[in-house]
Amino acid sequence: MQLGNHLRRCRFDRDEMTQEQLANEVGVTRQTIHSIEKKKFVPSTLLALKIARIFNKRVEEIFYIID
Amino acid sequence: MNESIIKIVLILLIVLAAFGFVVIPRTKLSAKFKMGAPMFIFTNIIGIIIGAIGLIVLFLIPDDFINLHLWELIAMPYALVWIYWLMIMRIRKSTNIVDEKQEHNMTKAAALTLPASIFVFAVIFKLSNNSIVYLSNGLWFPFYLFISIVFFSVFTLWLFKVE
Repeated sequence: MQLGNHLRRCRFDRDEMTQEQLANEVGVTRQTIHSIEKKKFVPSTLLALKIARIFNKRVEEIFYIID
Repeated sequence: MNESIIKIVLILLIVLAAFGFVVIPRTKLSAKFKMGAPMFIFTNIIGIIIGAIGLIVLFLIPDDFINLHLWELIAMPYALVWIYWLMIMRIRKSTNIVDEKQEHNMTKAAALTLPASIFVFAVIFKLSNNSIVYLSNGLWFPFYLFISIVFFSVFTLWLFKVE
């Protein structure tokens, strides 16, 4: 089971926001955002909520389970 | 190099680091001390370099390694980097100075370091029993220290880049 996400699309919808910008907004490193997008790292609930808040979306609209 | 000079250098470095640790967080200079991905990478690169130098020198000049306090001198830059981390913790008044992925990478690296270092120790122990390699009693601790530093730094950096 993996955690999929629409992070890349969300960033591009938000004036092509860079990974670095998103990382600074939520207080992590760019590598962490990159790893989440590549489905290599599962973020904590807190980080997922912070990311969702940046895009004004619910967590389920950004993250989903891949069976 | 003379043993007394090395001792003086070591004491000076410890005193300076302790002074910085206590004084800097109380000054305006503290704003300039930052923790981020570059510092995280730098720490692990220093760990790899220090660990490798320590192991090479240990096997090249084992007697001087202990008698001249060379192992403390070699390990000192790594200790200073960790004192920098502690200073950042003091400045931020928090132990959360790395992000969750870095913390995850360090945890995994620690879990990998344990079996890897046990394996290397088992090999050296076997070689030592068969008199192929000789490590005097005083060298086992520095050997453990530098092997652990190398493995931990390599695994952390590798996981940070790959995961």
